[in-house]
Order: sequence, then structure tokens, then C-alpha cells
Amino acid sequence: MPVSQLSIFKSLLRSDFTVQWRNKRSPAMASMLALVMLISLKQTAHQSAGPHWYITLLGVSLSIVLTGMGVLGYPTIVARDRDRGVFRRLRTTPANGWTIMLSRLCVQLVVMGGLACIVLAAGALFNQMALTPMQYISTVLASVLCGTVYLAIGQTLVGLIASSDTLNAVGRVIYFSIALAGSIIALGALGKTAASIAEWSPYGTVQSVLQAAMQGAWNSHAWSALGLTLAYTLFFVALGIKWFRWDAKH
Amino acid sequence: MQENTDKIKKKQPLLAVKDLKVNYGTFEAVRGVSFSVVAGEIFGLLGPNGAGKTTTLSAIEDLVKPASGSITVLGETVDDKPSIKAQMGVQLQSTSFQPELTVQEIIQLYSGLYGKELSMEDIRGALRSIELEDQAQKHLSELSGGQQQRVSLLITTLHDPAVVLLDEPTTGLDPQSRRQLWKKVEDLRDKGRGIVLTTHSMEEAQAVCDRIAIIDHGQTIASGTPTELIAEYSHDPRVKEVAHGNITLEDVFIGLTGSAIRE
Repeated sequence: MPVSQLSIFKSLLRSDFTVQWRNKRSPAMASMLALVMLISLKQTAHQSAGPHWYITLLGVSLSIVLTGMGVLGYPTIVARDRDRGVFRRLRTTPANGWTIMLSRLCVQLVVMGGLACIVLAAGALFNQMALTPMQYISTVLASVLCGTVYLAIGQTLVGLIASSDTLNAVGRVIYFSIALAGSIIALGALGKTAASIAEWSPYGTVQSVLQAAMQGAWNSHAWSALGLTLAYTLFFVALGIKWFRWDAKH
Repeated sequence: MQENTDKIKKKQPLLAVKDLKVNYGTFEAVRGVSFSVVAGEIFGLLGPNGAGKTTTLSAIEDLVKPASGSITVLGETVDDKPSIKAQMGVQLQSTSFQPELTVQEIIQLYSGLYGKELSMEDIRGALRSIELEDQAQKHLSELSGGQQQRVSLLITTLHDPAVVLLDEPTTGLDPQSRRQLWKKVEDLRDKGRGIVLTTHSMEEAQAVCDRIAIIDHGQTIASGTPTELIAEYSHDPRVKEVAHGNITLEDVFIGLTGSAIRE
């Protein structure tokens, strides 16, 4: 009797969650980074971002954490397993490539959802950020959705770059480019055209979606950003899985 | 052995490889290898390092795409078909399991990938059969090389595959572990499985394999039963030159592939 990909997916998911549970250090470090940002940037955000300063601060903290996990953390772990031959072994079984990768992405999304909850809880605790229950729920959901974009970019990077060293270097460049897009270009430091490009870049659309979720203000700009976020996700996931290099050697 | 060989010649192949060619960029790793394996047969692929043995196995396992040629398992072409992969049991050169998982969790994962849900009692029973029942909660890295290979072979055959592919299964094992592993492989043959293996041990190949193909530079340079190969090449000057006393399979192998060390 043929084995269904759904039952294979369940087996992979159980195993990937177990592996993630035993590798708690990386999400713990990401949470710490978010907490440091929330506490240390409170004054700056208060002075520069107006009455909704805490929304800006939450958005930036979440974005930095999600970007780091998606663009740096996830590809590193996948590349490590590829170097160990884990994927090569899995590929000899009836599990197809999409099932193997989607299981890993799902685990990361759950971790991202958990991190978003921690960041929001910390924001409420340390910075007295007051969101409604609905805003909390929509922010966690938006964080997971936005996390998919960065995971998808990470999937593309690790899918197309076989060498772990090159991947590490390219990942850092992409990470800092995204941070640059958010912090300098979007503020208009490099002119209006650059700001407009940054606004519709993956970082910009993620910021728009997160802010809309936290403010509960879904205008046409926010919906466009949401649509573009989904489009980026599908594009990068398809690219990163379809052309994934399963073997670091060939 | 001869009786088994006669039976084999009459059977339909479980695995058939025809004129297989595999390239890595401009490098031709496999250049027209052909062989078949039937039920109840151990087929040995022998060759020096870089001869194309692992690449040939990788093509059968669907890990690399052939440039040309055909590979069929139970009459069906191997082409990313889960149903065909379910008929194969694969042991790679290195164990390649996730180091964070325990032995029990790895068995659970791989049985699930082949659609078999094993209970804890089933897993304990499987581990008991390889005398590792008390190692279920350990990580693979905590086991000895021989124990790791036993677990790996157990996982390879959990789903009762028709074709078993073993890439250098005895590398790094002590004589006791090697003997035990060959016993398991012979048991699989007795159960009617078709086994393809690669090994650098000519003595073991001569003792265990029903048929052998010697490949070098991606091409088959000799094939037949160990007895046939020794008889066919015992008068070859290249073989005589390297032989000490009675001609063995190792003499034939070195005579045909040369004495130069391969990297």
C-alpha cells in the first residue's frame, strides 16, 4: 500500500519538533535580544515615535528577531544537517522534498509564534504597552505570517547556496541589508525613491502588516502589504524548495 | 553457492540497471554500467576509491539523476516515485541520522516514513533482535561503531524492502561486528531479498557475494561469480604478476584495476 505524504509529514513533524525542543538555545538567544531592545530603546522610541511609540518599538523588535531567525538561524541549521547527510538519508525514503522542507518550516513558524508571545508579554510587562486582546491575537498571527517571509528568504539562501561558509557570509549581508532598509532607507535618508522601494521590500511590507495588526487599523495600504507579503513568501519558498541542493558536494 | 547461482540465473530481476551514465558537470563518474539483481542474491560492486560505486548506488537511490540509461525496481522506473522508494532499503556510507534524536526516536521516524506505526513494544522487540534493547534511549553517537551499523541495518530493513542497498557496510567494524553483520545480510538473502553492496574487503566479497562486478573509471571491467572471475582471469599476466600463491579475488581485483593507490 502506498505511503501517504500526510502520514510521512506527521512523522517528520514529530521528529523535527523533538529536535527543535533539544535545540532551545537559539530561540532563547533571540528572546533575549528582543528583551534587550524593548528595554534599551524605550526612551529613544518614546522621544521620536510619537504617541504610538510602543507600537513602533514592538514592530522593530519583532522584525529584528524574526529576520535573524529566518535569514540567519534557520539556514544555518538546515545547512548543518545537509553537511551531515541528514537530507540525503531522508531522500532515500518515500518522503518527497516538499514534505521534508515544509515540516521544518512549520516547526520554525510555531517557534516564531512563541517568540512573538514572549516579546508582547515583555512589552506589556516592562513598557506598559496596552493592546486589546484582539490586537494581541492579530499581532501574534501577523508575526507568524511575517516570519514566513524571512523563513522563505532563508530557504532560498540555503537552497541555492551549497557551501556553509558562503551561506553564512551571504546570510549576514542579507540580514544587515534588511536592517539597513528598515532603519535608514525607510526614514528617507537615501531619498524618496529608495524609501518607496524599502517600503515595499519584504522588510517594509512586514513592518506595515505588523503595525496594522497592533493598531487594529487595516487600511488599503496594509492589505496591499499583506498581499505582497504572501506573494514574497510563495515566491521564495517555491524557489528555495524546488531548487534546493540536497547534497553539499554535488 | 553454485546451487544458489543456478537458481538466480532463472529468476526475474528485482533491480535492473542498464547502460547507466552519470555526470558531475563535465566529469563522467559512471560510464555505461549494467547489471541486475534477483531475489535471494547478494550482488557485490567492487572498485577502487572513485571508481563510481557510490555514484551508481546514489543513482539507484534516486539521489543523483542519471545522464542516460535506465534503472528499474520490480519492473518500474526509479524516478522520484515514493512507491518505488518504499521497495528499497538504503544504508549510506555514513549513518547520517539527526544526532539530537535517540535510537528509539530514529526508529520511530523511519518506520513512519515507510508508513509503519511501531508501538514501544515493537521497537523494543526490534532492538532486542539486534541485542540493543537497553540502548533505546541513547543517542546514536553514544553507541560503538558496530552498534551504530546494527541500528542502521535495522532501520534499512524495518519496512521489509525487496531490494537492499548497502554502501560499505563493514567499514570500521571489528571482526566480530563484521561477522554479525554478514550473518544479517545472509539472512536477508535467505528471505528472498535482493542485495547490492559495495565493499573494499575482497575476502568478504568472495565469501558472501553470489555475483560481483568490478568497476573502474565508471565502467564495468569484469563481472561474474567469484569462482568464475578467478577462473577467467587466473591466467591473465596482470593477475599473475600480483598474485602470491593461489589466485584469489583480491589478486584479480588488483591485477585488473592496478596497484596504484587511489585517493
